[in-house]
Amino acid sequence: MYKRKRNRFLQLAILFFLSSFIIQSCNDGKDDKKDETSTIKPNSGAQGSDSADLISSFKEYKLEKTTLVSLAGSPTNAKKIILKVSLDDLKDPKSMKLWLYPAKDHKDYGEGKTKIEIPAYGNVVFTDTKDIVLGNNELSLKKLKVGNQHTGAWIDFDYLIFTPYKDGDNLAFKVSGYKSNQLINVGVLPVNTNPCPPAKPEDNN
Amino acid sequence: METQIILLSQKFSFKKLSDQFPASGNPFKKIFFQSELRSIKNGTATFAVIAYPAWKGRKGRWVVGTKIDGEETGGSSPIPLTGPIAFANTELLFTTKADKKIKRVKKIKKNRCKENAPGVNFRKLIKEIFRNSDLAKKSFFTFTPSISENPHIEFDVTLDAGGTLETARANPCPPAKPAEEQA
Repeated sequence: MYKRKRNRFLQLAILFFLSSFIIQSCNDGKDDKKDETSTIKPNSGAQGSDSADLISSFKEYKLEKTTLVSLAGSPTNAKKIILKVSLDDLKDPKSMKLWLYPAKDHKDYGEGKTKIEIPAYGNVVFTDTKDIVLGNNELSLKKLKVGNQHTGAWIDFDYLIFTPYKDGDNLAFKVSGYKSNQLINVGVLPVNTNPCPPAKPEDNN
Repeated sequence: METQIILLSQKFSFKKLSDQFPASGNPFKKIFFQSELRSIKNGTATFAVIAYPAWKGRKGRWVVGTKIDGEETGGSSPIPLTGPIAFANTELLFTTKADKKIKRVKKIKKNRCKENAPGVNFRKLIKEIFRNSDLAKKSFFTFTPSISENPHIEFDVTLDAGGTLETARANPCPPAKPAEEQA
């Protein structure tokens, strides 16, 4: 009688162990599947997070006015700036950088022009990177001047913040000016960059 | 774990790329190409190519058409990310007002012309296709992406016109000059 009871107990224990194992395996499978499909998180609100497993996010960029002025004057008076992003490490959103090239017009930029590279700064601003197009963006420098587009003085700002956003399918940037760390609304600032194409070149020459 | 990118090789039919060009009056025709992020998964980012046709008269302004998606050819392999890679426009010149001039120069000095006008044979084949609508229907471009020295994404473009092949390189611009400046 005691032996029968013990066998019954052993059978139940084995059954319980096997059931637990099967349930655990099923959960593991679900978790794996979830990980595979969750690498792109549309607008998941990861504001300020640096812990994105992969680059599914874009950060802000900061450009000092002195850098902008020297870029605009090199080698001849540039009328616009071409912006593009570079990737280095898909696991680190900070490794994404902004490359800026000075350009006179659509016919005159390229070889011999020196780029400057600005590192990511500030917060992650959006995470909807699905099917995003990474092409050139243009920023007209006349928009950052007061009065005459050639001889006019620069708007009085200390630095610009480039905040990425998705314009249709394309990556574009909202450009905001700051003076003494205060957001300013002077002239056209804040202004959006022109993802080109689909937009026409800024100067259209 | 090392991260990597996959640049999908893609195909565009000649008709699809050229349908938006006006029939006449615009000697400058070019195509802009850009990279579209299709997915990021397990340390691998996959990019496809998209295209925009653009055209301009002798003194006019550039007009940009609407976005065109390519078709996957299946040929692509992962490239490890060992340094920064920039994503920029690449440009491919279809036709330019200089093409007539190039022909005349070629008669005088064949070699000099080739040096000064990269892609001239490619554009001559394009011109031939524009004149022959049957040939246009069976012509297509194949894009094989790679990473240039600068380092940007660039494309080797093969034009297959009913079996006649010509190849050109679509350069990232900048740092390369706009396509029409290289003609």
